[in-house]
Amino acid sequence: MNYLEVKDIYFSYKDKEILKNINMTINKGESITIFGPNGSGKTTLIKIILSILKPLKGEVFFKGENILNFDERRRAKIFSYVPQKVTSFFPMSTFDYLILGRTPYINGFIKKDDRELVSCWIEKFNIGHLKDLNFQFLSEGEKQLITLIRTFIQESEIIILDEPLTHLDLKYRMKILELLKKIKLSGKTIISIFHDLESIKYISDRVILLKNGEILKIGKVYDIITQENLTNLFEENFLYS
Amino acid sequence: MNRKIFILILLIALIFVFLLSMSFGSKKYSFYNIIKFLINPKEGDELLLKIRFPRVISSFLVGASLSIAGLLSQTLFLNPLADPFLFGISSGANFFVTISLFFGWDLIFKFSLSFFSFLGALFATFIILLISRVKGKITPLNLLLAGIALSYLFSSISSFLTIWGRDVLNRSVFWTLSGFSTVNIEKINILLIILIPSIIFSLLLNVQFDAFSLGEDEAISLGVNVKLIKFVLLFLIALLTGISVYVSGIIGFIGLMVPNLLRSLFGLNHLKLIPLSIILGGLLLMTSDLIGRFILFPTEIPVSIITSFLGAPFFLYLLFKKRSF
Repeated sequence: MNYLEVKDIYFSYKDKEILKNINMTINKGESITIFGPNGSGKTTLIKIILSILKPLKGEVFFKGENILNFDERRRAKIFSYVPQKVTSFFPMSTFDYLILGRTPYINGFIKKDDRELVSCWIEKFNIGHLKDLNFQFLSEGEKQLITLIRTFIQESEIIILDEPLTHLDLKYRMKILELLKKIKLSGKTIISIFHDLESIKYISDRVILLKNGEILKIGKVYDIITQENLTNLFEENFLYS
Repeated sequence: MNRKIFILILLIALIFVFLLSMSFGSKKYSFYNIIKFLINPKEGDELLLKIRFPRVISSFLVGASLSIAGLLSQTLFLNPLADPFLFGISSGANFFVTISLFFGWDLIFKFSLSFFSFLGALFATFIILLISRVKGKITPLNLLLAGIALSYLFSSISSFLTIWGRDVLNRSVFWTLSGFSTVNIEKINILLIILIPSIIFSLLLNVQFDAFSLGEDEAISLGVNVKLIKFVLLFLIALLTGISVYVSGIIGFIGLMVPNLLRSLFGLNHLKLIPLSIILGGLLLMTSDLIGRFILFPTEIPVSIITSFLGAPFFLYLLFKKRSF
């Protein structure tokens, strides 16, 4: 039985085909990156895995079970999500933001255990100075870091990241990548979208090349990231070594 | 300001304004008499029991209802400018009440006016929700403009019906302008029947509401049943706005001012915001009603004029503060 299997996924939006015949399997503890030009359907694919979007056709299986048969809470205990840009519509403390990672476990009111767990992670990552600050006013780097730490609090098995480094400076890019390495070493599965090859080489075991909604290639990083494949993917001549 | 001190000041102010509201009016009572009445209401003055007490309590309860309705509207629309008044939800309730008066449906059953008020609020909230989804994502400011346009549309049709049907005119104008002066124990009971379960329900869903406030995608990834929460929010907003409009007509800005003020102090945390909205919203409307009775005494100024006088500058402050819009 596969750990995570994406089977025959098709997705359309307003008569435009976004994803076609997507098939892939992901192993437990693996880090896999979806790579491709803008508009190739990367974000749509991860949103289907997260059940944010429903596919036109096809299924996603977790340990042999269709994830659409799971309720929202069970899904949130399996998958956690770090979006490209973390938006906060209202002022809230970083602690209150972090504790929302416990949402799938809370019935009614937040318990003391939940608070203690959050405090424990705050201490572990040495971010005590941020916990009472308004999350809205943190830098983009701090927001991404905090959201990534929230995935530990959510205690999910699979972490899904949509271009988490896009808005970050070098300092936070390094911090996030180091943290992702730690997450990987802890045995969690990572599904990510990155736009730079250095990050992919640093964090990923396998790469999926996505072009016009179809899988072009899938395989180990150093077998897939080649000049020929990149030229084919972006329809541009790359000087890549 | 220290949060604990703020809550303490709020509670002291609530007791003080309550006593002051009870004591002030055509006949004045000392605080001592009020306390004596509260200990043993049956032996108190009939004016206190049948007029003053229902008026003060209902202004508190409507203030609480409108504040929670405002808070939940802001959560539903992910928009700090959302407010039952500004988004046309109150006008929707008023519109349905006017229709029911026009066709004589207010006499179908005992509380049919409150039912139509709820239906009108539900209808308006649903329309705004539909507008918010047109063409993907509408900006918070455009949604506000759509709400204001909807509010004007409902108000103009209501006014037309009121002028057209003479019988409606008398009842509708009386109903709209009477505010809290005609509230009786029966109306307070309906208010409590709606308000208490709504508060309990909102408190039980506090974490889901917090997570929902991060936007749909994040809420789903945190395990929130987004469709269900949207439906619950829609229903609660309609219930709380509908009952408020039924009891006291349209009162603006309470739902905008109270949650925004509290969120700036306590952050996004519905478990804190809901009880505090009850206290601050109740206090604000009770104070507004007292001011309305006091400044041109013995003439009464409708409470909606006082809340608009306070709320409009606050609204402008929010508009200029939220530069990201």
